[in-house]
Amino acid sequence: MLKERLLQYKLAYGYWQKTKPVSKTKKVIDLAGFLLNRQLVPLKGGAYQDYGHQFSELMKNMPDLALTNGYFYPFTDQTIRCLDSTVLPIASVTPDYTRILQNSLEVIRKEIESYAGGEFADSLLQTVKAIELFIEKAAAKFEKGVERSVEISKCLRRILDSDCEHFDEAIQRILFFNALLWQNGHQQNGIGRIDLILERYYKKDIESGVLSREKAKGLLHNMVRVLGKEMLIKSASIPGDTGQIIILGGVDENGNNIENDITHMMLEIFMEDPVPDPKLLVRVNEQTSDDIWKKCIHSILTGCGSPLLLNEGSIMQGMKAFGYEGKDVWNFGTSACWEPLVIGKSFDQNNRIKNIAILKALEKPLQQQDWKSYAEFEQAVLQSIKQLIGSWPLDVRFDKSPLMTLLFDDCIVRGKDFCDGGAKYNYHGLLVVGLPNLVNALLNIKNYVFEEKLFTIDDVKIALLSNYGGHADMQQLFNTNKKKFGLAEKDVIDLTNRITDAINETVKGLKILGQPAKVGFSSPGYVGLAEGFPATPDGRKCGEPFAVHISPISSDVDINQIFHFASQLDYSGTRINGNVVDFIVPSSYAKEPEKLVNIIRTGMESGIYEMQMNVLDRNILIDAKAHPEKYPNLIVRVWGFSAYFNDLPEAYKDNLIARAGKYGAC
Amino acid sequence: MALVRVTNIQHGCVNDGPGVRTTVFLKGCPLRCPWCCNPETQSIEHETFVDETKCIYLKGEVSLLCKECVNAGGREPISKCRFGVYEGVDKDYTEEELIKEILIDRDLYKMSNGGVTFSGGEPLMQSEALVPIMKKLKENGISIALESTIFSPQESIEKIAPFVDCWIVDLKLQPEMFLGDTQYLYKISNALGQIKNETNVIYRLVFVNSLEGRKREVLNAFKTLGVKDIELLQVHNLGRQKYKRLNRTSEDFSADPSKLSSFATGLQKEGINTKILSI
Repeated sequence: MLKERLLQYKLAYGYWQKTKPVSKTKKVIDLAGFLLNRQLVPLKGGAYQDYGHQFSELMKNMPDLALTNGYFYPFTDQTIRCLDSTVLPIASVTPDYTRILQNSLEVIRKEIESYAGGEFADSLLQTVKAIELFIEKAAAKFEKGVERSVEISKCLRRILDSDCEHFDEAIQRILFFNALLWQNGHQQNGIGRIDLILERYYKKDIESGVLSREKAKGLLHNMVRVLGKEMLIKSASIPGDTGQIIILGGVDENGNNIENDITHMMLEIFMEDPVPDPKLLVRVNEQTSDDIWKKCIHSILTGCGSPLLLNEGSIMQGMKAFGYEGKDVWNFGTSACWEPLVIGKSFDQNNRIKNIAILKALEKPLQQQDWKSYAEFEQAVLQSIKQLIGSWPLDVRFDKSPLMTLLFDDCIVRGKDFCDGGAKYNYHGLLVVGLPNLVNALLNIKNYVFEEKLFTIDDVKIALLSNYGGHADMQQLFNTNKKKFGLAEKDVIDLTNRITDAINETVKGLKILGQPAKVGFSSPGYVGLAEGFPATPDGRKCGEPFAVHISPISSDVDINQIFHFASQLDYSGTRINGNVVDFIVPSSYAKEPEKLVNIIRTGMESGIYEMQMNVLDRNILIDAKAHPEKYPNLIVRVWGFSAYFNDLPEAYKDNLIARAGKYGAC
Repeated sequence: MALVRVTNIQHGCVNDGPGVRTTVFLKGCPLRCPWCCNPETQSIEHETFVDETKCIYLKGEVSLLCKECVNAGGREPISKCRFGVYEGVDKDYTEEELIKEILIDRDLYKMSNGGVTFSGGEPLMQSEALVPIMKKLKENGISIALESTIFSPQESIEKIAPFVDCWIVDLKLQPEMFLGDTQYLYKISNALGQIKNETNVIYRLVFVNSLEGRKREVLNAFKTLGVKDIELLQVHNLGRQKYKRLNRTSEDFSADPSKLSSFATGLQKEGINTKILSI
């Protein structure tokens, strides 16, 4: 028991203490300080009821919190829920906040009492009770305060027994439950489709005259500020990586495109006051208006990196074919960055398994020397890919959460925790990193080993082992091969599709926690997994980062080329777990936003899956690295989120500078 | 069938006419502007870039692939280099090849009211070869722009003019070129008379520091030619590496943005709609 308790505390320290001390002694002192200054709430057993008890204790030990930008957002790192040391936290899901907007806690309580029983129901009821008591306490405090406090007090009390009725109230309710998710140790909590969820309340208040567009925009702006306030505490590995995604646009249940004042206001807010957190994501389709397109591009051109653009037609089609029900896919969202799931119904943990560095599949084939042809070599690589993925460790255990269980559809009716089969969808995902590097490696081997016969496979193997030391000729040839990933030529596209076909075929046969698995080719691991990874036949030296998502590694492949290329890739089958074209916008395009709209729009319509862009000036980045004090607000796009450049680890800064150098002069 | 000699084809260009365009850079130009940033487009003849920075041997590295190379004391010319030291700057395209390349982005042209822009060099030097290509492009509904000095024989302009929707006229009104030259103004005036019939004309002027203080002469020239709108381009040194690779010398054209800005303001005050284009 004591050992488990200490492990829980250590895990909590590991996650919550963002600045890590360098020496062992300092670490011990820091850990002691952490334990003394925080209220840690351990999990005292493994039974489901223990989770309810823990949540109850958590709520009881919350400090008094003031309003933040006019809203009550009960999230603090002073009180910390400790997780079972053998499980992963729940991360990267999005509840459908419509559930708590249209159902008070009283209604949810009745639902539990009608459908559930035993330990399961007890734990849920304990959780509901804990929230009710917490609300009562906060409301009692706020009703003694100034006008805004009194308003908030009323909004909070209505959570107990009334459906939401007003726009401001709806924002408060969403923020309240969102904060509880973070407080309960769940990470990368998505916000969802704000323009869809809030529309009815906005319309009602505008029509009745209690709200103006201007006031609504101010409230939304405050919501954004509240969500972004604790960015550093909420961030996972890198500041900014919070997973707080606000989704705009896309179709509703009836196939009608959502585009309303809230859609426009959110984009305007990001254009006028760019922030790295939360982030925007826009679902685009044929009905997306010119105005929305322009606002998306203008927002991106502010440098905040938002929004990421999703081709919703392609994504919904892929999800349906995979196994999601047609009646649910209209409400798809993403896991933190880009991996699709169904809002309110998915436990899909799309990015929790260790990412797969696909270049590993070259190791075995490169050991053998007697290849008769490139075709034979490639076959061996494809076989190696299947073996690599087929044997990838997929054992994983997750936290349990009565709180999530309350907020997600189906769980109460099924009588199961959100993570234990309660959620309707449990399709977890894998991520592959280094696909562009692998394609380039094979193109090089095909050309220089088998066609021009300049090197043997053994020569390549030796050169890689020596990190190209003494083999500058080979590395230069590999780096300057005209055939490259991203070139919209048949042989390059076909090779890429053959590789992903092999991956798809293998993943089809896999199960993660008993459910079909998915795979995607965009990964956050392009720096981390590349550290220490040996030199590879695409010309990459040991430790150099892998390519970012579906993006070219060569400046010979421009934005149009990569769009033509990406639109011809096969995203069918299991290949739905995120396929982002990541591009750095040349400065000439940044000065012609209307034309950039046309380029991006055409690209989307041709069949790109997802896209994100950075607007970078290499000189500014270099200056910012040397003189961070001059650029406190410089925001950049990292793997699927935006961050302040100054907050990034050096390796990420260098990677962006290098990429900006390649593309910035176009 | 005539071939078209091309140095480069760039897709997704946003500064070469209306909408998003594919720009085809043709080889050959009768002028030798000192600041030319595409020196490889001046001569109509085949040329090569020689980039010794790519030479493995000169980098101090050893390679069996280089042992016969003249740089390493062997007999093989550098034209045989595999490492990109020696690279042809141009390619002769057939009609089919060029049209196929241009049509890749037809959806984008439609979306953006864009099309193809023939530039260079001076595209009018290959007007004969361009005519059948332009005909086919028009049959495919593609808008055509031409970036030209129009300092060319009348016949060349006559052949091309029926197919061109937009002329981007690069006026050579710098002291180093034709500023103050009445013959130049006469020639350009006549050419404008040929092309201005219901077509769109955009005027451009590369600003060099020597234009400082010469505003009045430029304005007089504008008056003669009927120029009311002008796009100014800051001269730059981005092409200097290309001169090196062609084994040619180049001048330093470091620009002073404040001079450009002042010049633009001066023109604006005299009623000329002035836009500064940045690359």
